[in-house]
Amino acid sequence: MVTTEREARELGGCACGAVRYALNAAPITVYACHCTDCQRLTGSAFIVSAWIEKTEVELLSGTLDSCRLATGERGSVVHFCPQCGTSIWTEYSPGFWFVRVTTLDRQTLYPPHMHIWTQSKLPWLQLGDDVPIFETYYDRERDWPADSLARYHAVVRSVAV
Amino acid sequence: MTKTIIGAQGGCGCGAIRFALKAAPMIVHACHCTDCQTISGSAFVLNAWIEREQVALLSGQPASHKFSNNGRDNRVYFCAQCGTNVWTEYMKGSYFVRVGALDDPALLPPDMHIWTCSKQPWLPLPEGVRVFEEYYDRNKEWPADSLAHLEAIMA
Repeated sequence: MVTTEREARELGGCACGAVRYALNAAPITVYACHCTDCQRLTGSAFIVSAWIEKTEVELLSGTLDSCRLATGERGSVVHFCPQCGTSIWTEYSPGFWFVRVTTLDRQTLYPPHMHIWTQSKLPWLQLGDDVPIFETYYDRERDWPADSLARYHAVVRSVAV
Repeated sequence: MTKTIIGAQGGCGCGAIRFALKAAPMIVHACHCTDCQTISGSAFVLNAWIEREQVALLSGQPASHKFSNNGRDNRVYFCAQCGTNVWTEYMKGSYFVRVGALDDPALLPPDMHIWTCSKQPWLPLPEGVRVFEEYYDRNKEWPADSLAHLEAIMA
């Protein structure tokens, strides 16, 4: 299951430097989410999130506060630096973190593979035509590469046990 | 357009902090600097630069953290419960309010994109919009009434 493309160690952290972390693999997928919740949480037009197994994420220093948000169908738990307020990752489904890509030291490393929830995209924002764009969500089985699906299902099986 | 901005409300992700804008902002930036990318979790942040007295805190009390970067201090304000950033004070007397934290973030499109020298390579910018690789000359780029508002709080 582990491919050479997966192997990576990338460091990141919050704005004040208290929180440092490492990703020990490349993300399963990366998306730009234009939903209204992500706009509020970022203060921007969208979020850029890297979907990755929790087991591939290492907290190197600092602590994270967390908050369960009632919004969204299933809710989510956002994790942030209590000192400076930088949000680092969010849990939307068990076993995975959605890491904010631009908190990586190499901020341009992982461009989004897709744009989702563009039905609430800010009207002035233009998107390129190089990656798929979905007005709401998408069909994972159809739209993900096979190796991403394999990684996804491996985690789903492990948390279901 | 101004009518809808005045009184526009916003808040954090958990709902503890609610605020309202009592006036239109002086200017709206899309800032693509590396600090704003880290803090926002996005490719850029959308900041509405407005007099502090024109921001009404309706509920909650933001926590804050002072950054001292290159001798220029700023203080970011965020919800201590959920971490959502609501505004930053870069200059005494004014706030840079996160446009995305407004209930209707489409109300305030950016007047200009700044620090595009660190823009995410994959992101296109809208045609015809003012773009600055770094910062810009306020006296040249701001409307006269916005300059007057800023001068009033700097006086």
